Amino acid sequence: MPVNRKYIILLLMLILASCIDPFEPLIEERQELTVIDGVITDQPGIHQVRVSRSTPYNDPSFMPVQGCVVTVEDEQGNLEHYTENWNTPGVYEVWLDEPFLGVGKSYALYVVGPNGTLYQSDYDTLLACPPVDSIYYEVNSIYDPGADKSYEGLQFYNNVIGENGGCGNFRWKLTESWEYHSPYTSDYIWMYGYLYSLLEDTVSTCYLTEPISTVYAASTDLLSENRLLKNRLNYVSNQTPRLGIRYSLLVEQQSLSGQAYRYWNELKAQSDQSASLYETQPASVLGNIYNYNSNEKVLGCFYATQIQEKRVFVEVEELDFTVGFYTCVLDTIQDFNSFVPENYYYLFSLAPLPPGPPWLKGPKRCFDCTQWGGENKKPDFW
Amino acid sequence: MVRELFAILFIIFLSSLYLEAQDSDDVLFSGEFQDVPFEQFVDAVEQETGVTFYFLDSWVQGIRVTVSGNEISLCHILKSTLLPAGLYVYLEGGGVYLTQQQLIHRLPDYTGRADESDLLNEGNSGVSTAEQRYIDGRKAGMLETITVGSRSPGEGKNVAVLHGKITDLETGDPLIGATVYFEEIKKGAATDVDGRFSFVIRPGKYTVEFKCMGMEDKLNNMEVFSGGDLSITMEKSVIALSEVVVHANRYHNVKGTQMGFDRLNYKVMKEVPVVMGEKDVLKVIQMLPGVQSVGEGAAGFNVRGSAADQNMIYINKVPVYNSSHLFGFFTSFSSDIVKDFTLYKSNLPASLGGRLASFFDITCKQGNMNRYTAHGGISPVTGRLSLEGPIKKGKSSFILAGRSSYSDWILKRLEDPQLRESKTNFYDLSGALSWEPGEKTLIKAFGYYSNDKFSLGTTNDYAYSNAGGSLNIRHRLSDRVTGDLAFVYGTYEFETVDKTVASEAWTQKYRIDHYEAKLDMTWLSLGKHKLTFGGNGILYNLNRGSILPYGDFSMRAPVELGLDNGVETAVYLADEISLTPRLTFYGGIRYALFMSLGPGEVMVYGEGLSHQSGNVVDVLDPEPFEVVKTYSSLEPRASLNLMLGANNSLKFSYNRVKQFLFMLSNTLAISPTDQWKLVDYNITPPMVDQLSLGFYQDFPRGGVNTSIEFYYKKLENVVDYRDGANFISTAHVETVTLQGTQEAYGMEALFRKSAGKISGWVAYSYSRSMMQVASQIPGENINMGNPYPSNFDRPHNLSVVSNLKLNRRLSLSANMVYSTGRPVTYPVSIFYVENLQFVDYSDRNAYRIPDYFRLDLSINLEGNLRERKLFHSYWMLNFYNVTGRRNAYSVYFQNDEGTINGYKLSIFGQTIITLSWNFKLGNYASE
Repeated sequence: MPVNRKYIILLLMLILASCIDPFEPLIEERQELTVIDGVITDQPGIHQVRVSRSTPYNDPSFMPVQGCVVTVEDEQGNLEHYTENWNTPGVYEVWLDEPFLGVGKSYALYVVGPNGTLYQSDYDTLLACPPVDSIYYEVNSIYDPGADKSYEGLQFYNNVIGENGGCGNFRWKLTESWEYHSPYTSDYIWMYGYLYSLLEDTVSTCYLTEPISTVYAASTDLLSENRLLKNRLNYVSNQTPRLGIRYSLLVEQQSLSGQAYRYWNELKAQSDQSASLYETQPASVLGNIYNYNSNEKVLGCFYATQIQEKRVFVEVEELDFTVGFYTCVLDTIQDFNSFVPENYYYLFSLAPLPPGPPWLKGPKRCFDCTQWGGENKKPDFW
Repeated sequence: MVRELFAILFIIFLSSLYLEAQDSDDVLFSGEFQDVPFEQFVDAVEQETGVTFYFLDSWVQGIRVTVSGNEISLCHILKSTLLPAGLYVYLEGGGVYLTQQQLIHRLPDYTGRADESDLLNEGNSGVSTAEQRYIDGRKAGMLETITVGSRSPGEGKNVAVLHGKITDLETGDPLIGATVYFEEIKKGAATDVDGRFSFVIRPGKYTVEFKCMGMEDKLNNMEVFSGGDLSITMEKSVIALSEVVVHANRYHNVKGTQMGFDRLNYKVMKEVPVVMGEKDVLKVIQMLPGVQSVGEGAAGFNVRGSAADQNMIYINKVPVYNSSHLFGFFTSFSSDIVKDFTLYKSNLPASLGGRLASFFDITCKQGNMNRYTAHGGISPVTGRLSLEGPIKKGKSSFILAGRSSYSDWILKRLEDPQLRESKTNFYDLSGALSWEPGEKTLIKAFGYYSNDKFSLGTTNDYAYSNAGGSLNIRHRLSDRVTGDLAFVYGTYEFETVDKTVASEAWTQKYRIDHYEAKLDMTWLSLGKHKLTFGGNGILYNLNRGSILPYGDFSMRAPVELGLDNGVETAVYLADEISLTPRLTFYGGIRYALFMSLGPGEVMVYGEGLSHQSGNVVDVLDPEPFEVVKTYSSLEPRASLNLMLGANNSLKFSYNRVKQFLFMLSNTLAISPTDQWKLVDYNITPPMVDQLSLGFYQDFPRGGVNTSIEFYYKKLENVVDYRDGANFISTAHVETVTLQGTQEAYGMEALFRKSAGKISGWVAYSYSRSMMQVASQIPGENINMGNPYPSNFDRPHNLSVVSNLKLNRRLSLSANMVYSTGRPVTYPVSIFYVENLQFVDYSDRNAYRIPDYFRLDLSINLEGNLRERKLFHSYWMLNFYNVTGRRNAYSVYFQNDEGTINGYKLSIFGQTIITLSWNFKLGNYASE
């Protein structure tokens, strides 16, 4: 029921010392079900279908099913066959292009498992998707009851202006990229007994791109107009270095049929679960794929969508709050006697010109930003 | 006054026995006799006083005497001891003659009794020498005689109807559940909510025992000439001052036909430690066997494995549709106004119907008939005050009570800016008037209002309120027939605003009105039958309201949720028959009729098709108040009580009930936006059949009652919800509901000690509750049509309530609760879609959250015991959840940056210590 969960629980935590602790339930049951997921987009290119088995709760892994025959059919009966990717088992790929792809067409998926079981999906229609109207943010502070502190951050939103009578169900896949710097820039490197001057710094500026693993979906079903205003997307806290220099958010907007929307909205609800006084009974999220040979339930979903994309940037100068950055601790050394000859060390000199002792020495990650997961190559869109 | 009347009667109509009591022939003696055989007593008295007894040994066999004191009247003692055994006593010239019949051995000496005024004075409790002797002898349990009726000519009927009223000597309050027990015929009666009892008996002489929790037991001789009224006052017992937990007493436990029944009075609330310093009746009943909740702080309670909407809560006949304040942490009526409450779990009397699981019947206090007084208190969350007093002394009284939260100060101190914006407040008011125009009539009026408002940050607002009133007229139509007529109105409404997303912000107003007229009649016949009959009619107006856009930016599409009207009527007839002195049978039949009325579009679905919009074959559009569908229900109610011995009995009962409204809720705990809904064209009324069997054993010496009950119940057409049901998107509730069957069974054992320094109870119950929603129609099943544990299936449950009275000012209480964790559906496997982790679930409710355990302590410190003071106060220091155990309220699984983790929410993560202060006008012992 529409009772705001978060605030009730926060109130209780403060007043009644309510608390949330990690909990590992004892679940011994093993339930292995076939999982099939795939998507047909309007974009020409490689399309994928993944076939796997579900794994026990206590021991999760992606358990691919190899040797399937995977076929997609449009409503005219045109068939396209997928082939299994040699490098990533369980992933089946096909190159699709117009005229097989097209807005308004419907597609169904057939998968024959290695033991001959036939899995079949309902037809799903590729609906036109309106362009991403606007993406914007608001500065928002979030309270952390554990630390009894509020943190600043950016809450991103978007608007969708759909046509009347057009598709009103949407899903967004978000990818974030940001620029960050290593904590220090080194001037010298000591390698195999020799000191080299670093003339060109290539490892202090990096870029990291990561997909956001949260499901975002919304519908205009309950609204009187086919428009979404201030639809909530991700939140970026100042407790990570994401906003430190420049941040970019790529929004991929997908149009969904009613069936596909229900599926993604239920998955969204499942991952959004939080502490609540008003708990609802959870239920399996089932999509539009069926086992043709038995009643065994099949997990996953096959759907078709048109894709619209938009990218926005946020510069640190726009922000009036401070942002966290990577830190590391350096040691002071007077000479290189303690160095192991086989290793190399990044250094910088505290002495005024000419450079000399005392030196500051640190681990690689103090000077090399690629150690923090990013790449030092500027992306094309930057 | 009755006793004055006796005195006069005694003068007009001869009572030689009584006159002789003041005769010079009476003999005084001293001594101590503890439960000695009569013969032994005789020997001692003969030796001391020189009188000679004349009787046959066989007459006095088994008679024992207890008496002690100086200058005791022998005549009185003999009378009280021997009369019940049917023996008469004459004292003359040093001889004591026992006979088996009343002799007129000399003419009444009217002139000799010129000191009439002396006798009259006695009635007025002036102290004569005889009285003095009586008082002396009273230590020994000398019995006062109550005389009922007159021996006027033509009154020679062979049955007499007694109408009694038992009140508290001090306050004039009627005593509920007080019992009257006639030793000779081993039968009795208990007083009702107005402190009244009626009993049919043959004229004659009886020894009668009055008992009431917290009151001094009273033993009297009663001489019944004909039917009449009697008014008994009882004094608080010294033990009662220690606020012992006293329960449904001996009469109820063993001798009554009632089972699955618990009656407690408000004093218990002082004993049971409470959270946040708020006394709370609904939390107290959760300590009784068979009553549970889905979690602490959750609104509502579950009786014998049933959903919370199957309970009816009445305060003075006003239905309470939402019994909680502040999400369920508190009860929506102040405990100050509660006098007594009864919970019926099975074996419903035929006069009650319309709820499957239980009736929680709360009787509000009547104002003090004798003096003005006030009660009040402050806890960390609320402040409360009640006033009461006579309007016309002894005839009419009022009580007014109010309570309000002042908890916003806590929120204002919070760091989080969103939370600082939050507001919560609630209050409740209640008032009652009672008026006794004469012996035969009692009129009571009651009004109640509760209100809750909270806004959470800037995202949600909730407001809801209960209101209601009742007018109750009770009148004795004839000697045998008493009628109770009530007019009741109750309403519940809520308003909610959701502004989480400005463009989708919405608001809804919901309201249910309940208009009821109820007539209950009782007809008494001699001993064997007690006939009750009557009926009621309820008109429901229910407006589920509309979902409307809220604010300038909202684009929410309005949705009409529709109106619901219905009429529920019922008539009943029941008889309680004493088949033999040991076997009592209660049989009743209730016929209920429900009519679902227009307006409101009604969808007719194809036969055997699921309730989905695609299967609509016809749409009905009834006029307002046009009958759309009628459901009827013939409900047998029967019970049997077999007395095995004086202190134990075996009981059996069966009953059937149908319910015509239910709550739309897809959450485990009742939320402030859950809506009541009437059954309609497409949703059939749920029904229960329940069988119970119980064994009851009392140990009167230790004040111990024990019982063990077994029950089995089968429910049909229980409403459950489709996965992801959304009640604010459609007027057609049948599209989001399913109906199934439920089976519940269990055992409840109770050990209760109500006297002594340590009092309290231990309750254990084993109970199971299984649901099944299976249908021929695909997609209409839950859990593939297989049975699954209901949300209220918590097999083992143990609660211990104990109170230790250290002295009159200081007492300690401790509670312990253990119960099996409630069922839960856990994720059993993980799967990946687009490289994101998701979970798939087990069969419904296949697992359980961790077991629940809690220990509470409380210390009550009373103010000083001075008799003359303006007001008395006491402190309550409560330690809730002493062990600080983090009991799981719920377990949930969250996707943290791509991986699934389990968490457990505990509402009370540590010991909650609260101090509250309470006061009343008067001294320690004042009510």
